[in-house]
Amino acid sequence: MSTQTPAQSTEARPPGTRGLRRLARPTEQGRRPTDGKGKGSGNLGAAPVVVPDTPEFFGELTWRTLIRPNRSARPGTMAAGLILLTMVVALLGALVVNAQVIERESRSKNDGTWRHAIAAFFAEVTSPLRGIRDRIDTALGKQVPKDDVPREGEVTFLESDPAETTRAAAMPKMRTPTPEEPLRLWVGGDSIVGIFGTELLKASSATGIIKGRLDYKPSTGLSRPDYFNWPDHIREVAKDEDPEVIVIMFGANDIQGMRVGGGAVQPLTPEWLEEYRKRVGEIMDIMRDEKQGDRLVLWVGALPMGPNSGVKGMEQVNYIYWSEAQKRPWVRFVDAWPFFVGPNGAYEPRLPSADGTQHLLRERDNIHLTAAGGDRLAWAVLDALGQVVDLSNSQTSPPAEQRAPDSVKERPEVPKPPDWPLTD
Amino acid sequence: MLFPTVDFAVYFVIVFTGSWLLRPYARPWRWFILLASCVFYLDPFNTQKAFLVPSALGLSGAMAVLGWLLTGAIAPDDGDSGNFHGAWWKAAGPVALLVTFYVVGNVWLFQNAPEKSEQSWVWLFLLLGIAFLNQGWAKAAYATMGPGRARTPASKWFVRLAVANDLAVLGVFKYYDWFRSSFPLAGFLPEWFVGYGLPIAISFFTFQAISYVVDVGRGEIRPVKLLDFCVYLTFFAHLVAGPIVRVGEFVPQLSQRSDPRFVQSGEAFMLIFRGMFKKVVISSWLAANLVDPVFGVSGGHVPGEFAKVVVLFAILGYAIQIYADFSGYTDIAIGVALLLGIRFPQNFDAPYRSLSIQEFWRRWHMTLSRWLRDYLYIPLGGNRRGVKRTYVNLFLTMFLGGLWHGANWTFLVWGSIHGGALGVERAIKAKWSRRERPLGVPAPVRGVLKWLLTFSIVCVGWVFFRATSFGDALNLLGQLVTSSVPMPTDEKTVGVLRLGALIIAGSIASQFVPQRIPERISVAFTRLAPALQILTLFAALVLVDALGPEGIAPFIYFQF
Repeated sequence: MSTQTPAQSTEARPPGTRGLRRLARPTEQGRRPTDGKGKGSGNLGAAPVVVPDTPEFFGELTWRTLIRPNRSARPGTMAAGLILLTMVVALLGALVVNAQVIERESRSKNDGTWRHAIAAFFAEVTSPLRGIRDRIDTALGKQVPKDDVPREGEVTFLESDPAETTRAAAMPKMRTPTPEEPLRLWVGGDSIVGIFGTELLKASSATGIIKGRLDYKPSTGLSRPDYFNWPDHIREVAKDEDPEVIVIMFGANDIQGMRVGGGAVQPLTPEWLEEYRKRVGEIMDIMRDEKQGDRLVLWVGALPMGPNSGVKGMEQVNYIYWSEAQKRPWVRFVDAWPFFVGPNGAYEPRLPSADGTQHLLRERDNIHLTAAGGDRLAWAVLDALGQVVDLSNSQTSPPAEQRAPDSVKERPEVPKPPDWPLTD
Repeated sequence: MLFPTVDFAVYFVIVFTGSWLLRPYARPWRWFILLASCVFYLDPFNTQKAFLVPSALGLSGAMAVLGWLLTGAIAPDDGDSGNFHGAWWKAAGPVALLVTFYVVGNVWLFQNAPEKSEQSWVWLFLLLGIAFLNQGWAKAAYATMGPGRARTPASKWFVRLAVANDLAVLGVFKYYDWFRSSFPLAGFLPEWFVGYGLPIAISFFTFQAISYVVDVGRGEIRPVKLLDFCVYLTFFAHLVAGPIVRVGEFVPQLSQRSDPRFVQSGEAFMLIFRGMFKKVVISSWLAANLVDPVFGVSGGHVPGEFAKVVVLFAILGYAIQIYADFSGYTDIAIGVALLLGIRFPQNFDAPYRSLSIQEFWRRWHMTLSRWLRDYLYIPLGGNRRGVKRTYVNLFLTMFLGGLWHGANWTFLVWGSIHGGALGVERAIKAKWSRRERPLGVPAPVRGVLKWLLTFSIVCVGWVFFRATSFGDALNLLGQLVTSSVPMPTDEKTVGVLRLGALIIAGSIASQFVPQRIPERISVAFTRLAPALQILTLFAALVLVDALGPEGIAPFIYFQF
């Protein structure tokens, strides 16, 4: 890489320059220029400089300038105005072609800001051109994301009828696992499951009667099927692996705008809560083993989030998880909340385990779990599993330094958030 | 604000236009750049509510007025050194006032602005405050110097206190919580600032501030104007993750009026798109497909047992990922600054072609390496105090360099690996320097062996750098040797490994491409008609976006 200084007006006058004058700045007169470190110079001033009388921002700009090769007097340079024009036109072109992608990204962060309105408007205006980007994606072998607006013959999330499913469903028929025939466990969810799932698999493995697989996808949830389609993925997992127990956990990435019908719903509004409830119910139904009826779903509730985590609405989604689980006998809601709050019910990053030692349970972002936090939740989930499945052949018991004190228990029911707008 | 986003593109078009239109007017241009940098830091596009926080704004304003008055009282901008002639208390008073205001202001703000949306404002006070404080320390050191900028006990003390002050700020926000939780004896310490996120860029702006005061204290430069120092410290292109620029190479460029007819667009666009490709395409793909599935998500645990080849690919993948991520950021930063007429020092120079660890550190994060050399290794005595002390100094420098990267034992191990390797390398060189054919092998073979050994040490170091804990790193390295998991044979995994091998090999091969090739490409680009340049840029933007995943993960070095 070159180490020369940027195009500076101290250099010789280039051909064609008009009206140059020499400026000597009173405050910087007599100062010697510095080397790279400023050593030995005694000051940081510059030598007298030569600048044009009128800054030629665009150089000589005519339409011919745009189609003729750039012949700047200094190789590798161009006038600032031409650069601006180049940047703006190229960016606008890219914005048009990528408008749908940008709108999707914007929606994922949307909290009712003006920025998303612009992105949505841009995407709408440029919708006839969306085929260009789709073709590029297809040519690159990428999966072209489906718009999550339901189209004819292509329904991502079905309308679920909890009452109907409740009537038809029975409790899962769970066998007693043995070391020879271990329980098939599948663990999925977002990045929080990365740590918790790892610890859960370690603990499960220690029992000698559970064989698990971890399959988490960071930055995913139920709000953005266009980014990662969990219902489709669960269908594949159910078909390919046929797990007997599914442990699933979502929530932290879900508080974002969702596309419903032709419009968008804003996070935590009544419309959003209704749509989210529908999606939760739908995926719970997908997880059920309709043929054999021998699959248990352990739906792990969302964790309390700490200060400055930027995550909100966990009480609301937890209430939805819990209330939807109540309608489905094959779903056991695991209330993670009490395991990560202090005696006053508020978020605590550091809590004692059963042996009385303090452990840091949460990462510095006040969202993710540490390994100790993962252990604590893992043993709580195994405890919940043991209430449904006979784990008497287990070869281990929860170490006191890893599990929560006995006084910490799941709540009998998840409280309804204040001003809850939905009717259950 | 992240570089490769629409937000930044819109922001930069505005800043680029304003900057070149205001460039002939020295003071308004400086104010414009300072304001633009503050907006970059506050990131208003991503703030959902409470964008304006009057308390922080008011406090920052008050600090600015106080800083301007007090630093001006210590020494006028055009004053000479030694103007207090030994009366150090005349400088100490204003600095003490500034420090008091800064500490009280920070405590008050952190107690009264706990919401995340307000934090960027709190951090802005932290950042601007550091600028005012260090200007005060620098002027105090300068004013108490002797004739001919001779160092005096008072000036030395002002520099020491400034360094302590900056390190204390870094310590409180970056290491305090880790220290409390890592050492049982420190458990009694109160929970000050615990639970708040790490202020963005704190490691970078504190180091730059230290270099300024030390350079002034050494008599190498004189204090610059407060506005220039604020522009320097907050300049958006290097603020978040470097390169670590020095006052002596930045501030003179503020006074040199760049000619708007000759902006070095060829090199700038080449750097920007190269950086975007590295970050958005290479780094993201490697993270998602090779690294995260084995190392676990950042901050997580190693998820399980893997085949040896999968672990090997994850380790090699991370070596390329962190290079692509960090050098990609630096490329974009240098390119963006160049478009505004400011040249930054080079930060990476094909580090994976190094034949020794010493060479690696001359090519990797070069601005940090020279900072550590000039402000840590040399003050510790460098190689001037005997052989044994040289080894100790080398180790200490890299050990502390590791600590700078984060409050975790893994970073200390990483620094120790490099410190130890540098020492061993130095000892071997000293022993074998007189031999004509060390190891009795020809030079080309020796070169390959040296490259292989250097790259292996660097990769082992990266395992500790990436892992959440020392145990996880050992577990992973152990799997590399002892894993009994069979090699995956499913089509999907094999396909990922093949593409991964291609990317890793291609990235390493790119380190050996001569520098003149990208230089020629950049010159050739600027010779194109502007209409063709537009088409090229457009195609590059669409392609990079299409090749990358949706959404941009933060740069790895943002966390430092």
